[in-house]
Amino acid sequence: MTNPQTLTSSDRLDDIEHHFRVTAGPGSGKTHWLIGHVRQVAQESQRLTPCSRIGVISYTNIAVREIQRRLGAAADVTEVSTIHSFLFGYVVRPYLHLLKDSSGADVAAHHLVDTHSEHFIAHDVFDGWLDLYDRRQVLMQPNNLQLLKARLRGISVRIDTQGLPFHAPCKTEARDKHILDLLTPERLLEYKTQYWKRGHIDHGDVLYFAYRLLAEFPALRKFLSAKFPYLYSNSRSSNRWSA
Amino acid sequence: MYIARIRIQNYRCFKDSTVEFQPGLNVIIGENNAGKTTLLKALALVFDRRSQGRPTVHDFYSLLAPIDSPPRITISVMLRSSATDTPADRALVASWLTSLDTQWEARLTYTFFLPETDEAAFRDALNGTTDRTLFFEIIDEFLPKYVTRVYGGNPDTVVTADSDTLSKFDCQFLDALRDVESEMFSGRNPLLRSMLEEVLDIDKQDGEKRQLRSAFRERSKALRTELVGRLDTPRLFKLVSETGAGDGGTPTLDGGVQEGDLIAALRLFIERESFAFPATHQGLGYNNLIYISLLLASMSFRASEKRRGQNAAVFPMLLIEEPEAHLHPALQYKLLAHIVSRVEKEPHLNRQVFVTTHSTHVTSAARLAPIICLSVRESGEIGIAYPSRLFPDTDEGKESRAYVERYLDATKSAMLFAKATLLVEGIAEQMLVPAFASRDGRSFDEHHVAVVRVDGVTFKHFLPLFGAGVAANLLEHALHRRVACLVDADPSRKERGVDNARWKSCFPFQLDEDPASFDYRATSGVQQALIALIAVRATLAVFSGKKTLEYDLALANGGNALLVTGAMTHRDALKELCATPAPLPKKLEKQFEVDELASLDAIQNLDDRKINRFAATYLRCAENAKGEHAFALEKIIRTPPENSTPLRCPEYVAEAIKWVTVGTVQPISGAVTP
Repeated sequence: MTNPQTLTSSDRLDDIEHHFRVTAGPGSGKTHWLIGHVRQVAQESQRLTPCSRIGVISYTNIAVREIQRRLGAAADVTEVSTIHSFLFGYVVRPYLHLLKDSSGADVAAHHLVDTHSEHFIAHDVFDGWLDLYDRRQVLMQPNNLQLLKARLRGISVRIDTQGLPFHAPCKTEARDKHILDLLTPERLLEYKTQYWKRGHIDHGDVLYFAYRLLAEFPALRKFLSAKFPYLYSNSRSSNRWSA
Repeated sequence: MYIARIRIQNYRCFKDSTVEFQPGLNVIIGENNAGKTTLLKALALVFDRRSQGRPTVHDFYSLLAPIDSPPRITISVMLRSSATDTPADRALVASWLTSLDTQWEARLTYTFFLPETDEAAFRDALNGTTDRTLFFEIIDEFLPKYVTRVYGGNPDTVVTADSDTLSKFDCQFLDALRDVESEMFSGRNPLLRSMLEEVLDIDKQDGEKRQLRSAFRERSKALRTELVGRLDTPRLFKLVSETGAGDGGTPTLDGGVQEGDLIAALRLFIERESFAFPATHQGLGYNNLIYISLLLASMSFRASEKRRGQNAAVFPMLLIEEPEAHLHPALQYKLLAHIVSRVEKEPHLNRQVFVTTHSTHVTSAARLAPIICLSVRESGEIGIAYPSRLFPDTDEGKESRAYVERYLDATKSAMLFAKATLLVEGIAEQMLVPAFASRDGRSFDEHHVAVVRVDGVTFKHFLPLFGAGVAANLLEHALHRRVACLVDADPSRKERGVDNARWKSCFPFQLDEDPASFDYRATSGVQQALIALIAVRATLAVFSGKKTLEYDLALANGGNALLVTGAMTHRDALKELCATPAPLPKKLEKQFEVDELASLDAIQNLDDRKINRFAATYLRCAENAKGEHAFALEKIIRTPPENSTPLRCPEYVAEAIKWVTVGTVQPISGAVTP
C-alpha cells in the first residue's frame, strides 16, 4: 500500500481483491466502514465459492455479536469471531495432531482438546513441575509463591529472531530474582506441556499452536484462504493474511 | 477432488475392507451377496445420511464374534486432490485434511457407536457371553442409545464435520427397487416437482422473473375471480348468517394459484407420432431411462453456482444400482456410454458416478478402467479385484491392456462375472467344449463357467486379469478364479542347417522322424510361453492335446462316423474311411503333401497308422467349414442319434472341463464330481 487513501465511513473501495489496512482514531467509524465493506464483498465477489466464507475477526465476543447483528443478509456468508475462536476452530482443533515434540510424540493430547479457557493453575501440575527442578521450597515462601503464580498466569508467547515462538513472562521486576530460574523459556514450555498432555489449553496456547501450525505446515494456508478468500481483522493489533 | 477410497468396518457383509475408486465412473460388479449394494449404501451413509436413516441390528457385520465392548460401524472415506481441483474443493476440505502434500488427502469418518457412558452397562449385560445370538440381542437392546457421528480429518481428534459443509455433497442414490412411476410422473411428487421448479424461468434475469411472476398472478387472479363468480356462494353461506356465526365477519373465497400449484397438477406425458399418452403407460425401460436422465439434469442445476449461488452443490455424486433394469442391451450400452461422456465432459456437474451391475453390456460400455470386482473368498472375506490395474507397466503390459480393452465386448465381459473361465482359440472349442461338459454332467451354466474365445493365440493378454505376470503387491487385486487355457498343441519342425529356417506346422506322427534334417517341437511356442507365464498361479492351467481340436477329436473317436458332418468336404470318402481301414482314395490323398503321406505310411503299428491317417484326413476336410461343422457336431454331442456310440471327449478337453468345474458350485442334479 504505497499511497494511503482518505476515506469517510461511507466510502467504498473499487477494488475488493487486495490487502488493505484502515487506520483511524477511536469512534471514527472503522467498524461501520468494515460492515459496509463486507456487504459489498458479499455482493460483488467472484471468488466466494459455495463453501467459502468472509472471515471477520473482532476483539471481543460482544463486538462479534454486534457485527453479526449489523451485517444483515451478508451474515449468511460471513463468519465473525474472535481471533481465538477463529484460530481454534479452523487451525488448532482440526490440526493440533500434526504438532510433534522433538521425540516425535504428540505435543498435546489433541483428542481431549475441545475448548480453550483462561489459564488456571492446577496444583498437582504446579507441584510436580517444581519437583522437576528440586524447587519445592518455593511453596514455603509466600511472597515468591504469589509472584510465581502471577507470572505463570501471565505467560505470553513471543517470537524470537528466527521466527520461532517461545514462552516468556509478561514482565519481570527486580523482586523476581528468586524465581527467575523457573521463568526460562525451556522451563515454561515444560510447565505448559504438563497441561497440554492433559488436553488443557488456554487462550495463549491457541495463538501459540496456530502460529506453529501455520509456520510448520504452510500448505494449510492454501486451504484456509480457499475457505476464507477474504479475511478482515477489526482490532487494534493487525493480523495480515496471505491469500 | 474425488473419493479415492472407502474403508468399511463391521457393516453388513464387510468385516473390514477397503475399496479404492477412480475419479469419474466406477462400475462395481460381483455375484449376489458380494457387497455391491452395501458399498453404495456405505457411501450414502457418509454423504446422504438422511436418506439412509439409522443402522439396525442387522446392519452389523453378521459374523461378528462376541467381543468385550460394544461394536461400532465405521465407514471412513478418503478424498484426494485431482488435476481439476477448484477453490471450492479446497474450501470444502479445509478442516478435514489428513495429508498436506501436493496430492492432498482429506478424510470423513462416519461412525455409529455406543457412547462411552453406556459402555459399562453394555459389558454388564454381556456378562462375558460368547453366544452370538445373545450378543446380537444385547446390541439390539442398546441400539436406542447408539449415536451417529461424522468426523472430519484425523478421526482421533474427534472433530465433528460441519453439517452445512457436508451438505455440499449432493449424493443421489437410485436403488434397485426404485419405483420410477410413482416417483416421477406426477408433479405432486417432490422429485419431479423440484426438477420442474428448477427449470422455471431458468435463464431469465431477476427483473424479468419478477415481471413474469406478477403477470402470472394477475392472470390466475382473473381465473379465480371468474371461478368464484360461477359459485353461488350466498346460498352456501346463508346458513352461516342464520346460525349467527356471521357476527364474527362474512366468509368470502380468496387464495389463488401460484406457479407451484399448477406445476403440481402437471403430469408427464409421452408424445409419439403426434399422440400423447401418460408416461405411466410407457414401458418400464424407457421410464427408467427418462428418470435417470432427469435426475442427471437436476443434479447439474443444483451444482450450478450461477443459479444457486451459495446454495450450489460442490460435489454432485450419483449412485445407481443396476442401471440396466428393464433396458434392452443396446439401450444399456447407450445409457452407460452417455453417463461416461457426461462425466468426462462436465466433471464439475457429476464428479463421481458409482454403478453396480450384472450386465455385461454395461461393463463393455464402461471399458476396463472403472471396473471393481467384488467376490466372496473361501475365507468369507470380500475379495476386491481391479482388473485394469493388473497389467504390468511395461510395453507388453500396456499392449495387453489395450488389447483386452479393445476386445472386451459383452461376450468377453462374461469372464469378469463368472466363477471360472475357459479360454479357447476358436469357434469350434467355444461350441463343443460346453456341449461335452453339459453332456458329462458338468454344465458350464450351472457351474457359472465363462467360455471366452480369444480368437487366435492371444491368451497371454487376458491372463494378467487372473494374476499371471502380475506384480506381487497387486496379486490380491487379481481375479481369484480358476482359468483353463485350451491351446492347440500344433507340433512343428524346422529344417536344420538352413539360414532363417522357420518353424512349420507338422503332424504329430512326423515328430522325431528325421532328426538329422529337422528340429522338432511337440507343442507350439505359444503353448510353451503360456505354460511359463501361468506357472506362478495355482489357479491357472494350460491344456493341450496332440494337434488341434479336430485332430484330437478324431484320435479319440477313430471309426465313429458321427464325427463326419454335412459341412465337411469329401464326407462320403471320410465315412468310408471310418468303416474300413482301406487305403486312402485318390481325392483324399490329394489333401496331403508327398512327405506327409510317406510319414503316415512309415507308422509301424497298423492301428496307429489307421487312426492317425483318419485324424489327419478329418482335420483337412474340416478346415474349411469350422463354424458350420462345429454347429452340427454340437448337436450330435448334446443329443446323440439313437443306437449310436456317443462321441468321446478328448482327454485334454475333459481335463480342462474338470479344472474349471472343480471347486465351483455343486451342480444341481445328476452330475459326477471327483
